Parts: sequence; C-alpha cells; structure tokens
Amino acid sequence: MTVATWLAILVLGPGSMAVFIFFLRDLKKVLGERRTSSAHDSPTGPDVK
Amino acid sequence: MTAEFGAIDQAIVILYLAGMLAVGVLTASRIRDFRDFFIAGGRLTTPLLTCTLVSTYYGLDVTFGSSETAFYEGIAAFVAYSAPFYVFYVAAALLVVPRLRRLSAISMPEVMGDAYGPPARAAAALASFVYSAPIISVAGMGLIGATFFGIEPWLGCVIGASVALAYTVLGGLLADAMTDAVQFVVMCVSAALAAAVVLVKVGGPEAIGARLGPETLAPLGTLSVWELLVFAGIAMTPLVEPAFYQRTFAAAATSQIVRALLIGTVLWACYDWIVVYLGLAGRDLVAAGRLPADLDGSAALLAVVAWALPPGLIGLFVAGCVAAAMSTVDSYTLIAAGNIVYDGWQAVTGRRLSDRTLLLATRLLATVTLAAALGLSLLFERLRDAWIFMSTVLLSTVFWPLLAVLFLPRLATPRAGRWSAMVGLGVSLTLFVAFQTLGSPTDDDSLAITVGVAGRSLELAREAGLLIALPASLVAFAAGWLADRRAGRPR
Repeated sequence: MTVATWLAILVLGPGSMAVFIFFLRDLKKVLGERRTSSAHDSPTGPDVK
Repeated sequence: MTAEFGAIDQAIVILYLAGMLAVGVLTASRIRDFRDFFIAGGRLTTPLLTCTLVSTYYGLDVTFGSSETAFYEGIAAFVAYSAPFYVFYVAAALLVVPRLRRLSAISMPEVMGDAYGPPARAAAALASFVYSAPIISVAGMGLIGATFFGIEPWLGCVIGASVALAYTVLGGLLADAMTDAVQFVVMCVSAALAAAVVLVKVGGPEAIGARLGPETLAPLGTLSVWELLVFAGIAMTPLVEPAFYQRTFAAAATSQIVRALLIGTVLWACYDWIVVYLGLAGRDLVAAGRLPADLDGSAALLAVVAWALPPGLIGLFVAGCVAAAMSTVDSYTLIAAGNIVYDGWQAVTGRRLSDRTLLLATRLLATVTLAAALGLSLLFERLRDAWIFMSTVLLSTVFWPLLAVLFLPRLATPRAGRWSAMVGLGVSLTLFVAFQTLGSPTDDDSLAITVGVAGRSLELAREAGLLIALPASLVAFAAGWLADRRAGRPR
C-alpha cells in the first residue's frame, strides 16, 4: 500500500501538470471562434471520432 | 493553527483569489448568448474537460468527507466508499456519453423534458438544484477561513463564495472551466506534496495499520451491510450527474469527453487514495498524542497538514483546499441557477425566455443559490451525510427515467417518466423532512427513526432513505408505463 501511495503521488503531481500543459496548448482553440454547429445537435448525429 | 499560517501563506491564498477574478474578467467578453454562457459554445477539448471534471466533481465533500470517513473507518473509506464510483465513471464514459451526444439538449432536466414532458423536466430541475447547491464546499470555505485566517466562519463563506460567484457570473462555463484548470493543478499538486511529506514523517498505511490494529486496514472496516448498500447506490450518481451532462454537451466532440472521463477516473482514484491516507495518518497522530485527542474527523486532514508541512507549503495546501471548494461552488452554482431558470421556469410557465432574459435571470439566481446552500449546510453534522442526502434526491428523481431514455427508449413513455420523477422527488424529500422532525440522534451524529416491522423494532438511519426512495421511483415508473400501455399510448 505504501507503493500505491507513492504511485498516486506521482500520477497526481506530475500527471496533473502534464494535463495542464496540454490545456495551455489547446487554449487558442478553446478561446477561438465559437463552433457553428455543436457535435450533439448535428442532424446527422454525434461526431464520434 | 493560525500561528503556523504565516504572511507568505496568506499572500499565496490572496494572490490565488485575485488570479481567479482576473480569469473571469478576461473571459466575460466571449459570452454572446445563453449557449456560450451555459455550455461554453460547445468547444471544450480533452485537457480542459479533464481539468474541469476532476476539480468540479471533487470538492471539499470528497477532500474532507473521505478523509473524515478514513479517520473513523480506516481503509474501508477507499474500498467501500470511493472504489464503486470508478465502475460508474467508466460506464458513464463508454455507455452514457455516446448516447447523450445524440440528443439535442444542453442540460440533464432538458433531456427529461424532451422525453417525458414539462412536469418531469421541472421535477428534474428541482432535484438537480438540491443536488447542485454547493452546500459542503460553501461551509468548507468558512472552516478554512476560521482555521487559517482567524476570521468568522460566515465571513470565510461570504468571501470565498463571492469570488467564485463573481467570475462565474461574468464568464459562465468558460470562466468556470478556465479557473477549474488552474484549481485542478493547485488541488492535485498540493495534495500530492502533502501526502509525500506525511508519508516520509509518519510512514505508509502498513506502518499505521501495525500501530492502530489490523481493523484499520480491513477492506470493509466496521461498516454495516446497510451502509455498504447505500454507498454502492450512491456510486451510481455519475450516470445521471448534472455536471457530467453539462460537460458532455459542452465538449467539442464525443471522443474528447470520453477521453476526459477515462483520464479523470485515474486521477480521481489517486486523489481518493491520498486523502484517505491523510485521514488515516490523522488517526495515527491522534493515537500518538501528536494531535488533540478530541480532534473531529472532518478537521483531521487540515490538522495533519498543519502538523506536517512547513510555511509556504501550508499556504499552497490551503490554496488547494480553496481551489477544490471554489471549483465545485462555481460549477454547481451555475448548474443550479441554470436548471431553475432554463429548465424549471420554462417548464412550469410554458414560456420560452429570450437569450437576454435567460442570461440575466441565471446570473441573478446564482446569488440566491449560494445563499440557499449556506442555509442548507447548517442542517448536517457530518459532511458525508449531506452528500448522501443530495445524491438520494437526484438519483430517486431521475435515475430510472434517464436510464430508460438512454438504454430502453421503448419503455420511456410520458407517464412512466413523470410518475417516477414525481414519486422519487416526493418520497426522498418527505423522508428527509420526517427524519429532521421525528428522528433521534444516533452515536455517529446522524438521525434515525425506529419503526416496528413484524413485531420487531428496526432502526432506520437517515442515510438509508435511498433504499426506500429509489425502489419507490422504480415502482412508479413501472406503474406509469403500464398505465400508458393500457391507454394505448406507447411512445
């Protein structure tokens, strides 16, 4: 269980920072122009990739 | 604890609050209509969705509630209380999200309304309001203010809630999600740092178990069968969670939200494990006489951190707690207010509101929501009980109708959904009022009513309300479906 605790510390610390860095990379896209038709209201259904 | 909390620590927290306000001001110019405000124009990507999901769903209820449960029950707090949720996070990602994305709604009550009509939408909006009122996090900010700044709890509540309210009202979900991203890192890194320091100073769970006794590490602890059943039932909440639904509709694509939920599940598990470990460490430190013998379980986490961390890191951890609280307060305030205006008001009056009115009314109602949350927070002694009550109301009202819409649409007839929602909401709220007025205090700060069943007396705890209200809602759903079938009105 001590090993699991260290593992959780590693995932939560560096892991969360990695997610945050990816968020900063995406920032321009998120703040960009609004989507003209959102995925879920497309008449042809969802845009599952 | 205020003595160890120096000027540097206070400056860190104040700087953090100012930063959150700045994000609100910067994103405000991006809001043009209610869709922009409530689902950020449908342009959120995986990293931002991960940040906002993790920080929103895990507030002080989890941070203090799980550590509190671990303080009393040991490692069972993780195995019996937290772990069942992971199954339903994954189920929500793989089964619920793709189906939700085929619908044209932007909120959970709207899904109910589209399938079952305005009364079901109004009931779902009310249940979602009760569930979303950020009771615990608002109260938690008062606790933090009193513990670390030496101010009155109500003032801590008002300051923290006002900052969250300000940027949410300005920038809606976009400001909420952007601030959540910062709050996500602060809460995760501060929890990881605190756990690392405590691990070095106190030792791992095995060492604590050796000192406190093997029952500390027993997977199910001393929890009763009833408590385990309630925990397992509450773990189904992610399948109908209003914040999950809102973010599903706000995602730029289905794959983005699915990935975010799966990454979030790993992060939630790590966060749970760490706060449970810190709660265990609190019990160990009390037994060793390093923390006061009368330490309350809900304050165990803060006490451990104040004992273990040096100045500066305490400030970071407190900022992490404030972040966990604010990311929950802002998101759920937005959902609660939006549900009442967009779903409740429009369903009850049958009038479609203009974008401008929707925006104005939602912003105004956000303030009322926070005031209601503060009032409700005074009714619960244990944080976990408040969380169970809120989840009981939500699950009892919308669980069966929503599952039918998503998985068995042939069963989703108007009366089935309407009756199920009404009965579930009515029973859960009636039970709550009955326990508050007729219940007697129990040893673990809850309330219980003793009823006679077949000549034997049975003590029913307030938390067991879910085990009555959820089956009642299912029976009402079946009765409504049969009534529609007899009337020849299949969907």
